Amino acid sequence: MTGADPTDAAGTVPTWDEVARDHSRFMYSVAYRLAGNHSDAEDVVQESLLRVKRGLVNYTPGSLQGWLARIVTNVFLDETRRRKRRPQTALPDDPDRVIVGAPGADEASAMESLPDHIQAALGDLQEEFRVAVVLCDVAGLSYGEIATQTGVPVGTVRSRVHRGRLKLREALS
Amino acid sequence: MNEEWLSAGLDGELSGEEQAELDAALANDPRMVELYDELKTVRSVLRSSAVAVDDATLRRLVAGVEAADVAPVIPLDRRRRVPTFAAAAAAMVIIAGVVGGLGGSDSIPALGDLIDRHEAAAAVIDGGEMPDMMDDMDPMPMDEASDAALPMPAEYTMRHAYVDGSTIHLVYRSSHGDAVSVFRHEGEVDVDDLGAGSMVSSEEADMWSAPMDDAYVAVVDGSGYVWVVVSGAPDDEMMDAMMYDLPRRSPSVGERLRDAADAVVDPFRLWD
Repeated sequence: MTGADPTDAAGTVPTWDEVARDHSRFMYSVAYRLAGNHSDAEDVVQESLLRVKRGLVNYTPGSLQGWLARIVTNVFLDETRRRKRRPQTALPDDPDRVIVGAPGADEASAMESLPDHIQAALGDLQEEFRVAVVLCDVAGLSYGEIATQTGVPVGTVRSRVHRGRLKLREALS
Repeated sequence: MNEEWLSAGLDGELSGEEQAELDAALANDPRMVELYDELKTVRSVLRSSAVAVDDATLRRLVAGVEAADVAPVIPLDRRRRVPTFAAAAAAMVIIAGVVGGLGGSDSIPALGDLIDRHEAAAAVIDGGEMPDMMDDMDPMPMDEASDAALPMPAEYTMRHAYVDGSTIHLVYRSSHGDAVSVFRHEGEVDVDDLGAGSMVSSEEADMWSAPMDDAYVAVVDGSGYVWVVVSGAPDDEMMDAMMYDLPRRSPSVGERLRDAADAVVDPFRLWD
């Protein structure tokens, strides 16, 4: 999943159709790992796609997935802040929707759900650690890209990724 | 060396010198090797685990975005997650009854009517025909409307203005295509009586807001006017910013609203 087409090597601005077709799954993965449930992930992805659609005209060719991950993360953080101000009750996932659907054939072999306890541990991480780990291990961004996105020094990113993984390691053990 | 180098080493984020130091530490410390391997496993699990989402879901999300770019829509599931909706809806009825001091037919319309007017005005902006319900609203000269308007950020352009008695309806469109209606009524309202919703109070004004129908509504009482702001989306960022910046001290309600709205001139936060 990570490392797939992280850079718009051709130096061209992708079309909306290309982003929707080729990258919405990537955006969903980042959103789901951040949000921890499908209902919230769908909201985050839809809002992110809307921002992408409206912002493509301003996109500077470079790391497309980095740009997309940045938008998804911003939407997630916006939503988190909004909920802190106005507490709401998230609906539980509909079990019928939390299933492996119809992945592309090239993805089927790689389709392996994250163990529930790991996803739960990811959700329990403090937000800054979760964002760092997800951007690193799900979005595949470099520490430098994460630092740029989150507005903290690279050393802080290094610390957050490590501390996040340490917490997840406890869940694995 | 720092223990954080273990993760950084796995990610290829160490300098050559640091990597050499890490390699030396791993060669001499079995406990370090054990931790390194455990972190490697965590990293591997995260990177190799895909999120199960079917193509139909993705297509639905994309279709929703394409529809949203034509007309504002409620994000998926948002409506059923708002627990206060029923109570807030009751405020539609209440507000008409709590506004006083206007007399005659100039009482403030129910919020539901204002939402309908907003949606009608938004449709006109998008090229639709003037609906019958707008017949009782007279077009207002734009220069007069500008004098009556709230100071709005440059991103929001006034597109239409209507007047009906002491009620003024100003219709704005953002550079991103979102419609916002601002209704101004002379008088006052006790926002505490509006029912369930978010409340923010300052020395000069009170603001109540809540998602309602397919819109997000805020009511500001102060300075001799009742302002009702209606946005097409229940989670409009401008509305959020207005609401939460309201308590700041500044010379007027309008300036506070403008200050708050300025904070979201880049509502998409793409260039933070």
